[in-house]
Amino acid sequence: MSERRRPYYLITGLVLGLLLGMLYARAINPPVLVNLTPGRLNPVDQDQYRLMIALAFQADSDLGRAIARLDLLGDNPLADLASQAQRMLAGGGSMEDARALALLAQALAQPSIPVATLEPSPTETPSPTITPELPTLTPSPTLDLAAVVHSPTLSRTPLQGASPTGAATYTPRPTNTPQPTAGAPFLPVESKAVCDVPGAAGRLLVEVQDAAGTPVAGVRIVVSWPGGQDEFFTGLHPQIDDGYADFSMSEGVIYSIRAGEGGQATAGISTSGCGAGVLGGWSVLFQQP
Amino acid sequence: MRWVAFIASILLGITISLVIGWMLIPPAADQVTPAALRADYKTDYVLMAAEAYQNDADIVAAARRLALLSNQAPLYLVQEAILNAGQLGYTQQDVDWLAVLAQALEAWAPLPGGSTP
Repeated sequence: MSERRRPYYLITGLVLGLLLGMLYARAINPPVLVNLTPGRLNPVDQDQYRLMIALAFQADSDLGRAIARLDLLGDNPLADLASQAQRMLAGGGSMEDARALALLAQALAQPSIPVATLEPSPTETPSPTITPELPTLTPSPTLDLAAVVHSPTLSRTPLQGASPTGAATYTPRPTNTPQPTAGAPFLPVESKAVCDVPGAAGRLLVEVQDAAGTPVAGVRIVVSWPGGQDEFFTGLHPQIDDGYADFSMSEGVIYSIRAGEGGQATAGISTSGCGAGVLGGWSVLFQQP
Repeated sequence: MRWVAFIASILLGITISLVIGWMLIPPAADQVTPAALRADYKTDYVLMAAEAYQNDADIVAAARRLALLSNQAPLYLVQEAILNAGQLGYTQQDVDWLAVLAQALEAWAPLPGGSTP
């Protein structure tokens, strides 16, 4: 009577096949994803995509388009914009990029703009006409740009010379969010210790306003202390105020602060303004003259 | 007979792995780059780069932004976007912005062989 041999060789073969297949499918020839939405991008590229949205918004001021683009990322646009701007500043990123993010966050937080402040696009016509030459073009080095653009000059305002058939479906957007005007530096008009405000202990609370008292977003704030300096922007806390920004102070350090380019600094800021042994805050109001 | 069964079991294992590795387990999120975007999203990304260029007139920054999309020449990407813009019904203003960027890129780093017939 012969003993029945167990089929270990089959199990060995199966395991060997699984390993070989997995090696090929995940390492040698991994799957390539295509036709994805921006929401599937990795976090770093999502940040880049979000930054591109903010930069584009600076150019076209089309909040509807910016919102539609941000929706593709499937996130909380306002919080993510502010968070990314702060991360960018903390990581030594571009000030201009952080400012673009802050301004878009501010625009999102303030969606209802009075109609009187809207400025219609100069090319706002209803017909979505595309020049007939476009379909005949092929993606090759022989693309004739003159066939697709009416005013092919390196102008910063290319639409000024657009033909009457040029179409624009843009929503009329306000072209001016409250921003500092050149040549009007921000001056400190009030600088005082804050002792009785909940949550203000140890914090430097900054408010920046224009000459009319309107909060201004996107203003760079520079805080200096012996041996150090930091900077941030207004507009990252639109739920509080468009011109608001804050900074966490350390005990025993004397700070000075300046708002915008060429602005006047105010000094003597510390956490000890409420008396010895009391952790106080400080409030500074900057305003254009 | 045993060798045939052994090889068959290896092939079965490979098949199962390929199904799992290619179809059931998606790539990790950190492997998804802008190059994987759908064509219309890529076109919109190029448009955003063109809009940003309108604002800062920084052709180096524009090229760097476009480089995230593909290894192809930035000018080629913009030209492709112009063609897609026509098919996607972009406004003339959008096409103008793309064309301005294409011209700037052409002056900055023309494609081999030139861009005009």
